[in-house]
Amino acid sequence: MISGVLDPSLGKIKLNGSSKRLGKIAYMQQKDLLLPWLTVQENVMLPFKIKKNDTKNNFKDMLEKSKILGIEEYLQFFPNELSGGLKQRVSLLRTILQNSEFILLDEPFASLDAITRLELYSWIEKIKEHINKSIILVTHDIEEAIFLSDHVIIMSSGKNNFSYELPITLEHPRNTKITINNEFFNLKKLLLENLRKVKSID
Amino acid sequence: MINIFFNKISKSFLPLLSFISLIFIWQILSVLQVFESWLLPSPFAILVELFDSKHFLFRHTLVTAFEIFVGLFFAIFLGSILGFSMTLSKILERSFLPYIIASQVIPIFALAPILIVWFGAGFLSKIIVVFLISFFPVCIGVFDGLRRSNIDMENMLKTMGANNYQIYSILKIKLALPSFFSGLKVASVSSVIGAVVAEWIGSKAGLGWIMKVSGPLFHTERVFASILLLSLFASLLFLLVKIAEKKFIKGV
Repeated sequence: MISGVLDPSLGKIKLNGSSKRLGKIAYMQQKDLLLPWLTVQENVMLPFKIKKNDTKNNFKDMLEKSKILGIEEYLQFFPNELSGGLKQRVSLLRTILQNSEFILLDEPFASLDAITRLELYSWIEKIKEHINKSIILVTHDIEEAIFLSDHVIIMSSGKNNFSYELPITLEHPRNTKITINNEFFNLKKLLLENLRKVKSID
Repeated sequence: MINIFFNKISKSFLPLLSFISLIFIWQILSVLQVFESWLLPSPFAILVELFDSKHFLFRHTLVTAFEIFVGLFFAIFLGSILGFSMTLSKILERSFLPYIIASQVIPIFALAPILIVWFGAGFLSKIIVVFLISFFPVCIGVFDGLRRSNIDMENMLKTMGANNYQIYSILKIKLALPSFFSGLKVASVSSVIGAVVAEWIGSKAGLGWIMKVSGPLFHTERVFASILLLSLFASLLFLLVKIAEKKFIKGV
């Protein structure tokens, strides 16, 4: 709904005062959704092709960011030749290259194994430095939320409309070591306590 | 290692071996005159006929091939257009689809004589029969393929700001290709049947015509030579579609 694919049945979602959101919010999903008949390069250039600004500058931009994400050597590969983690990295690059004001990540790591997931966290930490965009991450993983975010919001479904906000003050750039320090632990405790209010967790 | 090697050999070699053995046995039985040569000519006699009348046979193969290609071309062209339009408009789908499906219960054997009365014994009636028989698989292939889209990918393109035209050109047409080619494969085989049936019923040229006139004259070598050419042509056509399919469908 945030991305603009669906419209709310009640109320309005506005982006800078306008409810027209399609094409303005980059949306990355749990499935990589790479087109299997296009190479990695053609896939990540898709947003430029659609907006008809398939220029040299944009190509350079793509090359630069593909290096940061470590996929520059796979550009001529087809998606079915890549591993799950790599596919998601390509999908992430394609999302970033949409150059929209907002980036929406909808459980992008849910289908990955735990180790690949940790790897992707580091890639996201890295690429975040190079793009100056707000990112909304939807996740069901508490550690993931703390590790990647500056601000966590717990939302509940249903009628009681519970929501809870928690700023994450951990310093950037973060690495996986912080997941075992005290500050991280306390944040996790706080989030869990608030989650208990909406879900039946012991 | 030896097993893999043997597997590879047996995959291509064994079918060939069984084929050659069958032809060989057939030839020996013919030489021993187990059956009359005008009933079942020997493989060698068929080859001789193929060689002796090569100009004659080639000319008539061209006739049949021409009918098939033209009919198939129009079937692909109009079938794709109608299949495509039916995905765009529910009105078109509801008014045409039931009749396209219903039209398939009419056997082409029943329709061909009327078409020959209407359009003459020349090329036109043959082309129309080929068209009618191959239109259905192509049209349904395109229609089904375009409907079997991927909603997640569509949404992804929409969030990139793609318009309807781009969603078709980037995604939907590519996703429809496998289904289109399945239809085309069926069409390519049945189009050969269509052409021969039409020639059989009323014509002055083509491989079907040769079979029809040579049979009653007990010129069985010629019938077999035509059958051989026809199957070769049908296989070639099928192969052509497969090559095109491979060229167009990448990475799936």
